[in-house]
Amino acid sequence: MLVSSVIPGGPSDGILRSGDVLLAIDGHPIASDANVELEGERAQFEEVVERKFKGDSVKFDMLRNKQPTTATIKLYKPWPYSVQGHSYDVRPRYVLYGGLLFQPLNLDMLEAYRTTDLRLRHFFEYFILEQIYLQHPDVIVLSNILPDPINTYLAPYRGAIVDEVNGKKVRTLDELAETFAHAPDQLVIRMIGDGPPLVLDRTKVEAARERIKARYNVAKEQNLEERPGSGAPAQANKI
Amino acid sequence: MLKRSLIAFGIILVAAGGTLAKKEPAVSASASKQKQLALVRVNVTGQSYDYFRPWQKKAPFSKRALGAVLSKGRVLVTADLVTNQNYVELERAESGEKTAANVQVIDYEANLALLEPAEKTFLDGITPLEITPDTVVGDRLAAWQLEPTGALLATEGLVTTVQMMPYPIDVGQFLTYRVSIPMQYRENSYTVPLVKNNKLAGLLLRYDSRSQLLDAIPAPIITHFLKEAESQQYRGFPSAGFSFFPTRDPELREFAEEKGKGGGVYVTNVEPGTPAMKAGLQVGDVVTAVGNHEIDQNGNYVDPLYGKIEFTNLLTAHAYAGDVVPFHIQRNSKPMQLNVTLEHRDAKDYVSPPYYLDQPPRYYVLGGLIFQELSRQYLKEWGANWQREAPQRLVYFDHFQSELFPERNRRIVILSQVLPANSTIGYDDLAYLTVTKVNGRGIKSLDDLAEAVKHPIEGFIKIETEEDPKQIELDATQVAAEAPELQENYGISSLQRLQ
Repeated sequence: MLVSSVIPGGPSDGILRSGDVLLAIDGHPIASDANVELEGERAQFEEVVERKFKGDSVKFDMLRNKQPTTATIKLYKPWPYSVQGHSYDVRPRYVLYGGLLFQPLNLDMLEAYRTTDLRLRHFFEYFILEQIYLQHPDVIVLSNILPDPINTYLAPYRGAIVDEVNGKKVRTLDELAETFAHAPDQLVIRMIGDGPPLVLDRTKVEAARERIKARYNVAKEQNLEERPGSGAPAQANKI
Repeated sequence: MLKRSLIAFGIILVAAGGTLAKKEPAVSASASKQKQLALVRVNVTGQSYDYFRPWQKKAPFSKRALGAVLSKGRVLVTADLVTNQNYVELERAESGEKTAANVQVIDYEANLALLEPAEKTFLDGITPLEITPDTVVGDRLAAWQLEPTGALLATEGLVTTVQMMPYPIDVGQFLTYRVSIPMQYRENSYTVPLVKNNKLAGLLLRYDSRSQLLDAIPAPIITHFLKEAESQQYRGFPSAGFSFFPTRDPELREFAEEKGKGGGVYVTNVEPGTPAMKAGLQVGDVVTAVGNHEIDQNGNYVDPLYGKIEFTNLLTAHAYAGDVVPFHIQRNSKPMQLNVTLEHRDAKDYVSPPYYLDQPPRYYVLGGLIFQELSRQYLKEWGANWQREAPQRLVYFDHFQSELFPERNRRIVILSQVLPANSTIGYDDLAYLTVTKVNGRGIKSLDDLAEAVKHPIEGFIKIETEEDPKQIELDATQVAAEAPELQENYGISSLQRLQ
C-alpha cells in the first residue's frame, strides 16, 4: 500500500509520509489490493483500525526510501470529521444578529435545510480533502433570515458563506459573535465568491433587537457552546 | 359636453379596435392561399459526439422542422436544429420538391442559423418574409405550422411578456417574447415562425404544453443576427464581462456612497481580460447609465417599445462587437464615464467552454486512462438534469469557473474514465479526477499532457491528481507495447485527438 497523502492535523500527520509503502498493520501483511487477512477472512486493511477504540494505537511495518521501518499511530477522531457526521445530544451552535441567523456548516444543518446549493455542498463534501478546515474551521453560513424591516433587502444573501467582516477574516462562529459584540457603526460582511458585500448599520440592528426577539420568540441570540443535553445517558457510538 | 362625447367616442373606438383585432387574425388564411407560403420544410440528419467514447459519434438522429424564407435566398432556422448535422435538406411545402442545403452562418448562443439551398433557383416563386421588429406586449402573433398536405396551420397567441431570459445555450440572457398560445403538435414543430401581419416577428425557442407558454427569439435578435451575418466574419453577440447587483438596499447604497434615491447597479465582479476590465470598470462602481439610458435600482432602463427591461438588452440586441458604449458610473460618489469597447466572447475563451458543437471532442488515451478537458458540453452528457446528475465537483468547477480560475487561459484536464487493461490494473474504478501534474510538469491543457507524457521519470509516467489517489504510475514501456491491443479491444480508431 502506497501512502499518497497524509491529512494535515490527523493522527498520522508527522508520522506517515507520502511515498511510504505500508507492508503490515499490527502484524497482518497488507496485500497489493489493500486487503489483510483477519480471523481467516480477507478484509480491507482499514478494518483493523475500525475494530479499535479512541486512544488505542496501530503499528505499521513499512518501507521508507526503500528502508524497512515501523511507525506507531495513536488513534483519535480528528475534529474535522465531526463536521461530516451526525451529532447527537448537542445543541446546534448559532448566532443571530439583525434577524440574520449564522450557523456553522455540518451534516445536520445541511440536512435540516435540504440545501442543493452547489457551493455549500462543495464546502461540505471537500471540507477535509481540500483542507477547507484550515482556513474555515467553521464554515459560517447565513442560513436563515427572520424578516424585519432592517433585513428586507437581504434575502439574496441567504445561503452565502461569511469570509470576512470589515476586512478581517472570520474563521469561527465565536469570532463572528465577538465581532458583532464589539461592532463598529457599519459592518461590511464579505461573503465567499463574487457577490456584493452585506452591509449592516449597527445602530439600526441594535434598535431592532428587542423587536425581532419578541416577534420570533427568540430566547437566546446565540449558542456558542457544544454542550451535551443534561442527563443524557452515555451511549456507544453508532456504527 | 363636446369633450365628454369625444371621450366616449374614443372608448368605443378602442373597444371596436379590440374586437377588430380578434376577428382579423395576425395572418389571414385567404392571403396565404393566394401566394406561395414563405415556409419550407427542413429535414436534418445528424450525429452528435459521444463524450463517453470521444473517438466516435452517437447514433444518427433525424429532425423535421420548418424554415422561414428570407430575402437573398436564405432560410432562417434555429441553431439547435442544425447543430451537429451531417445532411440538411430543404423541401417545398406544396410540391415536395427537395434540395440539399448548406449552413451559411450559425450562432449557438442566440440559437439562430441561416441555410442556403444548393440549387439557387429552389426558392423561386416564394415571396420572402419581411421582419417586423415592433412587437409589444398585448400583440397577437400567429404560429405557422404545416399540415401534412402542405396547408398552413396558423395558431394565434397573445404576447404577455417581453423580457431578458436565458436561451438554451446558457450564455448571458437575450430579449425574449413570451406568448400564451395553445400550440398543436405536428411532426415538424421544431422551428416554428411567429408572424404578425404576414411579417416575421419571432421564432419558437421553447414551448411548455402544460402552461401553454411559448418563448420566442424576437425579431430584434433575428435582425441583429442577420446584420452581423452580412459582415465578413460573423462575430456573435457582444458582452461586457461584469456582474452586477441591484442597489435597492439602502445600506449597500450608503456603502457605495450613493446619495439620494438615484438608480444604478452595484458592480460585484469584473472578469480579467473582458471589455469591462479593459475600460477600467471596478468592483464597487455603480453603473448609473449605459449610453443615454438611465438604469434604475433594479437594473432596468425604460425602453421606448417595451417599457422597463434589464439594461443588458442595450449590450446585446442594440449593440455589436466593436461598438464603443459609454458607461456612466459613480465611483466614491464621483460621476465618471468609461468607454467600453464591446467584444464577443468565444466559447473557447472560457476555462470550461459553455458549448462545443459541430467539432469532435479532444481526448487522450494513455494505457486505458481517458483524459478529456472539462466543458459544459461534457457535463450535459448527463442529460437534462446534468446540474444535479453530473459529478458535482465538475459542476462546481464549471459553475464557479470565473472565480476559481481567474487566469482563464487554461483548461481543466480530467481523468474521465478508465478502460480496464493490463497497464491499468487497480485503477479501473477511477473517474472524474482533476489532473494537476504529469511527470512533474503542470497540466493546463491536453496539449500539456501529451507533451509531458513523452518524458517519463525512470521509465514511469507519473500522473498526479487533485483528488485521491493523488498519484498514478504507469510503466511507459508497457503502455506503449499494449497500445495496439487496447485500440483493437475497444475499437478506438485513434488514441488521441488534439486538434
